[in-house]
Amino acid sequence: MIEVLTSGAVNTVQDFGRERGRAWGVGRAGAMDRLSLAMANILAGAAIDAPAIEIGIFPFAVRFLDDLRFAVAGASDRVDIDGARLPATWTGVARAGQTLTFAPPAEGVFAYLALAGGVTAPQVLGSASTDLKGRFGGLGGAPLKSGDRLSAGRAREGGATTAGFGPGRALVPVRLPVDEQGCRLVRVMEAAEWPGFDRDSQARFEAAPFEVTRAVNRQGYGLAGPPLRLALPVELHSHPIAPGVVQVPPSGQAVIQMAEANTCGGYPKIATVIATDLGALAQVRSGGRLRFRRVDRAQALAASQGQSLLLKRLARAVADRALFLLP
Amino acid sequence: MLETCAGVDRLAGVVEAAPGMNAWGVFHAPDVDLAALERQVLALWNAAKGEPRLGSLIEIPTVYGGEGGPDLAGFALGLGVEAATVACWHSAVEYRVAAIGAMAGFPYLSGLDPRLHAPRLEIPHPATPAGTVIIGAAQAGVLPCTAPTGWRRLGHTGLSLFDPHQTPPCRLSPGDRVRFVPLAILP
Repeated sequence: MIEVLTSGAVNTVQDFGRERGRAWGVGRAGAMDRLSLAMANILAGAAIDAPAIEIGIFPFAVRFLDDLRFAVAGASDRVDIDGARLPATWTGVARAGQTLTFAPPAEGVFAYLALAGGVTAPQVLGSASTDLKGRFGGLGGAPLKSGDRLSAGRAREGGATTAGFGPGRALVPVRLPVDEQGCRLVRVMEAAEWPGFDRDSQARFEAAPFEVTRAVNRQGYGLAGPPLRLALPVELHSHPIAPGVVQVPPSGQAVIQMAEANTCGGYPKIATVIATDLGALAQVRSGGRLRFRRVDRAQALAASQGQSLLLKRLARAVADRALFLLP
Repeated sequence: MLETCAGVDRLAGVVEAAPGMNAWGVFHAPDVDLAALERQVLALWNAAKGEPRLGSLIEIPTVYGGEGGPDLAGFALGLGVEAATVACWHSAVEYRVAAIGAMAGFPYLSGLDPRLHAPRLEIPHPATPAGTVIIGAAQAGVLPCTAPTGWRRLGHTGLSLFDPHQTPPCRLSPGDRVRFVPLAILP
């Protein structure tokens, strides 16, 4: 079991999120960066999609009440255990009484803390993830606060080693590639209203850099860039949308739907960020610049298979202990 | 149509088929054979009968205006009528639940009196309380949770529309009929 010492308003229990709730207006929620959550779970010896803690407000600190294997991933480059800095993307065994502290990271937005056997949280509508908007899931639908206690699926470390280890650089996922102007390249597929945007807007969408504004939360990331316009304005009925959809409101400034996206929306959709890139995109801070690159379905599928392969290799490396060990 | 959507929902490779106002979202496994799936969906669509479901009638007790409906007075003024007239137009008709969506338990209601149609707001109201009775464009609705909204806030109800621990979690279903019952009209 662990006890939360310090937390913030968006630090929540998350897993891969909900499917099959859309007919009730229940969106996916789940981790903003699924890949990092999955890596933390694999390292900690939990199911890949087990509940873990997503941290977006720092510092975040927990005290261990038992000896317990844990893992950190995502924006985890400033994590200390009793004052000793851990490498990013790492697993270790904490002793009862030790304190794990996540300081503001040098890079990225969301860090993940996984526990052996997964963080225990009740399933609500098929998932343990916290839906902050609907106030359900996780720990009573609320962000974690000081004094909250969470237990692990496996209370004691059962592995052969109590040493710390991490995947090393080879298995740490490549973040979004950066072009010569410092823009992160984000792969998108055309969305339903793409053909309705005027030629200049279509060209600008791929050519121009877009900056992530300060309007960012688990629901969406607002972008600032050259205005995107439809050739002919349309008034759409509210229609189903999903995380990754890039909407264009009348202002012409795009908004990317993120993990806690609404299930329906009425704005025209110019593109959809491919699922493989959405987690890495969530790690781009306000002020970061993006450039969109259109891909087709085959390319998107290949990217998705590449990411699955990476997780399989990590799981095998953890099983074989073919990992970087702390001296 | 809902039965047809449920049929699509059961197709192999489909994760979820969810109804919208006049569209479905069909969410599928990444590597599904899209051409085959499209044929199956079209076959179900072409076989659909299109008879509307006549659901139950749900009454929503509403306090118009006041703190819970801060846009009522200004909206009425813009229309050149009394606040009570807007409340009357809003509560005189029977709405149909066109879809549940956007946020958990939010009903898109069709049937709004055309005299109350007005464009959505350019700048949404932040953190509008759960239970707020709202209208936007040709639609009406009730916020099931505290959320921003670009619709106009006419009143407030204490009726709970969503409980994740109930089965089903929503008070309303597509096809249900809805009436707003004025409890009070506040300045």
